[in-house]
Amino acid sequence: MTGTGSDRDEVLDTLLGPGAQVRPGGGPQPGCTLIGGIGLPWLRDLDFGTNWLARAAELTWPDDVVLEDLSYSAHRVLHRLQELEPGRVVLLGCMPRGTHPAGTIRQYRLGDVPAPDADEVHDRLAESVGGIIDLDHTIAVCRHWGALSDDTIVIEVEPEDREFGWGFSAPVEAAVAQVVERVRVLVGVESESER
Amino acid sequence: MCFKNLPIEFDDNGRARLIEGGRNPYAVTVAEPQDYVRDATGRGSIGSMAAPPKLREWSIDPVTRVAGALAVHTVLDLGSRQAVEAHSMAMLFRGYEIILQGRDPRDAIDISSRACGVCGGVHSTVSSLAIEMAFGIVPPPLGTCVRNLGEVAEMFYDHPLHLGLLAGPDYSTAIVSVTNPELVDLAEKTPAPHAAVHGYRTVKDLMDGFNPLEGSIYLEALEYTRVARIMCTLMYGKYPHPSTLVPGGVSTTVSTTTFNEYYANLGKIFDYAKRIAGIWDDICDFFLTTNPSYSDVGLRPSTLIQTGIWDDPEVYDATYANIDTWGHARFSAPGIVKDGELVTTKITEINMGIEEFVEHSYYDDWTTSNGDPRFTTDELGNPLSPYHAWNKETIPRPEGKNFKEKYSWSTSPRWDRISMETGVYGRMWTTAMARQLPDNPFIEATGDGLRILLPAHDLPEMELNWKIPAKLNAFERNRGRAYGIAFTAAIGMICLNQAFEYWRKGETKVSTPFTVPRDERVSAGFWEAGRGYLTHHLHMDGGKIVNYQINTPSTWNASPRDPFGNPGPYEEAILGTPILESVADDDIKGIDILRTIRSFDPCMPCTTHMDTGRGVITREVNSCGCTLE
Repeated sequence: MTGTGSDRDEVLDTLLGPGAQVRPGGGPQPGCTLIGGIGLPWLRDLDFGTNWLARAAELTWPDDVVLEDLSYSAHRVLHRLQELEPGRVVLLGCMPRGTHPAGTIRQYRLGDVPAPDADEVHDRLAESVGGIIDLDHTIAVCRHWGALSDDTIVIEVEPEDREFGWGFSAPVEAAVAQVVERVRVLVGVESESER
Repeated sequence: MCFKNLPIEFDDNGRARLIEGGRNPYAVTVAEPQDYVRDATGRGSIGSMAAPPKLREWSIDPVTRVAGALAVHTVLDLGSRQAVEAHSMAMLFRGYEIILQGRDPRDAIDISSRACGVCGGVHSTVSSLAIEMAFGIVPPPLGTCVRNLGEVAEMFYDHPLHLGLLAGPDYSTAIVSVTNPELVDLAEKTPAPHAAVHGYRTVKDLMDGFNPLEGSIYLEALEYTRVARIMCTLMYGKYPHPSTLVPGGVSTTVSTTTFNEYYANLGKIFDYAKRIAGIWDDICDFFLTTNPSYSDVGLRPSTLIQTGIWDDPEVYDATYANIDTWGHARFSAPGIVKDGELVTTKITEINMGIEEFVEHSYYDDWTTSNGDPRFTTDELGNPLSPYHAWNKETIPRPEGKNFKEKYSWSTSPRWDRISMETGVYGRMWTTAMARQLPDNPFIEATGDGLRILLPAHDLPEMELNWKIPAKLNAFERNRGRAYGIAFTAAIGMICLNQAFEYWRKGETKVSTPFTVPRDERVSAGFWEAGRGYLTHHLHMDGGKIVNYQINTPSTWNASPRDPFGNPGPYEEAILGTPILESVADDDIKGIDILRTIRSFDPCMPCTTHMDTGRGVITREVNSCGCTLE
């Protein structure tokens, strides 16, 4: 997201939300910290990544932090990461694991979980090229080709409402601010609660 | 006379009319489904535990390395080593037609695009065409050029990913060493005839190149999806769901820089096209020469339907009245091929021959419950069936889930009540036979093939010759798709030259203003996806959609049996496919069946259910669904 506060216009307000922060040109630089949201459009909690980013964009972030919607297929994210060359990545999304109550936040470092084997990566890539958007696909494919380091942080929220529609369920809504706090700590920003 | 089964004849002036006689000329007599197991043994049905020992049920659910959810049920005769029964099952209902009812027709451009995660642009484009016809507007020439260029680019996403990532691994060392190890040994000793072009010394090197995740052909295909996306984005703002396609052209801000950037990437495609044609020539010829029975893998009649794509900006006027004229001028010809013969290139005749049946699909037959059809003719007076898209209603009814009754969410589209296949090779086929290409320096239709001249880039200028195959089988589908990249690249060059010329002349407008009409309008978009045939039929009134019907290539190809008992193309291609694996019966992997299915480049709806045979896994994904409603 580029531009300056003074450049704001109605279109930007519509796209990013009133008051959302934008930064002057040049685009993200290699070595930046990428906060990537992955969501499934118009599927309520499953669209967490995208809608969380829209809210996060209203806050002030360090110059080397880039917020991007990565709600597209895994190989396309791979190509984007190869272009962007981020130094650090934080990925966010709602994933229905069924292992925790709705609204539970799970955070893990990629290096702490085993990488999928080649057959699984191939299967996930074969699904992705057909247009499937899936956080696990993205992680498997991008990790296989070294576009995500072991230091990558993944933050998942357990969804409740996966129906067609807009807005989060109450448990996921309650998790939004907590995820903001976690991400801001991760990128070295003083948390709102400490101010 | 192109119709043999529909009650349509032509008068002395070539005007179509309904044949006199009978209260219901389009009546359907439902045939009893044929069953190989029952006929051969007189006992049980498919799936019965009492099946004879030499017959083996063999089902794949899901078929992997296809877009979306496809399941295939087959019966293999291990005595004769061939597939003797086949059912193709599309596993999900998406309901686009229902979503679109009552909406502003312009919404269809964005909503229908979401039908597919590979080829959203083709849906947006064909939707634009349908709306232009309804609104009575036509894009400025450069607008048509930009649309053409976007669609050229979109094919460069579809074809490489299929050839490299989806179908390609079926011919890899990793797979062939398991199913036919003797072929790998032979491939190692067999020089690749096109080595000088593609750089692979032996056929074994090519097979290595197809190995998943690490083979160089696989990886190159993955990289070329990036090039295609860059090209698409230049014309469409974004991909796979364009943001700049509108009725009456495009809203893209174009300049000479846009076209120059496009050209820089098109040059890369020229070289890729030269290499990939040689790669698939060498792979196909190796298999077909080594064992001629491979020519029966995926074999079905050369019966094809194509709707044509890439308009001539000087001829396209978006009217139904002139549709045969501007359809004739398309760079890729619309047409019907029946048993290898081109029977028409007129879109009106293609349109009046189309019907969709739901006898074996999870829908209710709308003709039995809704009285007289809305439309008995098109606006030119050509007769239409009650089963035609303009009369169709989408009424989901997932009941009777068995092969005798209903087993798929795909309908059974038929033309002249014949099962038709469609694909990139189909449009090359019709273009080659029609010989109606405008004069141009890059493609010549020879009647029995296409001569394609690809300009120099890093590789020198090269002429490629694609020949209409004697047999339409799995290998020729893939070979055709490989040459299809060259065909498409050549059309891209033609369209790019046109764009530069319009720009030079100062004709830089790319869109036409319009207002949404409030009166009743009926229209259709005819276009093609990477996989072939694509239509959107629109009926609007009061500024809203009354009925919107989408028909996609994989709806044709994946269709279940029709009421007359005829199998759909996947099913027909599987039937009789030999099992050529050189392994014991218990070790058969079904690779020849999979090669058959994947050769069509299936594009199915998103996966909701997978039956592994050992249990059931349920998961949700968000994906391509262009096969279905």
